[in-house]
Parts: sequence; structure tokens; C-alpha cells
Amino acid sequence: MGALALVAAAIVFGLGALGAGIGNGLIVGRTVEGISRQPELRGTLQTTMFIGVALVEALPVISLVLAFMFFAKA
Amino acid sequence: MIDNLSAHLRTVTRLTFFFLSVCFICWAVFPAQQAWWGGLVVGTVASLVNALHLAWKVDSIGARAAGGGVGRPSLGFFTRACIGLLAVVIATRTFDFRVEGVAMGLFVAQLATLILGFWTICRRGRMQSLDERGENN
Repeated sequence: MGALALVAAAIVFGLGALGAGIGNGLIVGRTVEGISRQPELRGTLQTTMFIGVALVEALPVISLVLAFMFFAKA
Repeated sequence: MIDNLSAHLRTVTRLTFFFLSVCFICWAVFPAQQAWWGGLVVGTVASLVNALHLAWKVDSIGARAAGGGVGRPSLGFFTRACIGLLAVVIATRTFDFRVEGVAMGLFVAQLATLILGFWTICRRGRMQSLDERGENN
């Protein structure tokens, strides 16, 4: 049970961080491209980027807490 | 329409503080579930700090893309993950709160951001249709 809980903690945080990394890269890349093309739209693009990054990053933060719970039970 | 990041963040902060006040009222009214409400409060505060930090980072990345700003840009995810971990440690080791409540509280500011974003998109679409029909002119 202890080793399985450690493996579960590693998987939940690893996969969460992987997905967040890919998602953040896509969001930031497209936003920087858009701001470089049209700097006057910076406010709108920044707000959209904030919403997207906040949603993408909620998952790994919660997966970190879940991993901590699994780690405590191991 | 909320196109400005600081106005958006102000509304998210207001919604989060409203949720915090509801949590404190429930803490007082339902003393049997104080561990849950306390965990929610700690998680919500950490979530608000995370949202403020993320807004600062997004603004610095936008300034750098627009031509200003110095230094290496980063989103600072490690800092926010450590804030979430710190909230769990404070809630479980110092106050003996429920860690499940902290996990739910860590999602509050993000949920407020999502609801506000959908509301902004719907409002923008309605204003555009009014502009096309000439009702705003």
C-alpha cells in the first residue's frame, strides 16, 4: 500500500505538471505572438491569457495537494 | 466590459472576499464542521495570493512582448505550487484543518476567474450584436 501510494503521488503530480506545461506553453506563445503583432490589443489579450493560465494551472496545484495526501498516507 | 487586467483582478478579488465572508459565517454557524470551513479559508487565501502573483507575471510578460521590460520572463509556477503546499502544511500542521477543504479552496479564485470570463464573453457578444443593429448609436 505504501509503495503504491508513492507511485500514485508521482503519477498524479507528474501528469498534472506535464499537461500544465503544454497548455501554458501554447497559451503564452500565442499571446506573445498576438501582442507582438497588435500591441494595442495588449489589455484584451492579457486578460484572456490570465483566464487561460489560471484555469490551466488550477489542475497541477490541486494535483500537488492530492500528491501530498497520497504521500502522507504512504 | 472587462478588458483591463486590473479591473478583472479587482472583480476576482471582490468575489473571493465574498466567498471568504461566507466561509467565516458558516464557521460561526456550524461549529461541528469548523475543520472543513477552516481548510476552505486557508485554501481560498492561498488561491487569492496565487491569482495576484499570476496577474503580476502575466502583466510583466505582456510588457516584455510589447517591447518594454527587462529580465528573463517566466510564469512562476514553482512559486504558486509552493504557496499551495504551504497552505496545506499550515492547515494540517498548525491548525488541524481538513486537507480536502484546502484542496477545494485552492480552486476558488480560478473558478471566479472562469465565471467572470464567461460572463465577459457573453456580454461582449451581446454588445457587438447591439452595435451591428445600430441600437447603441
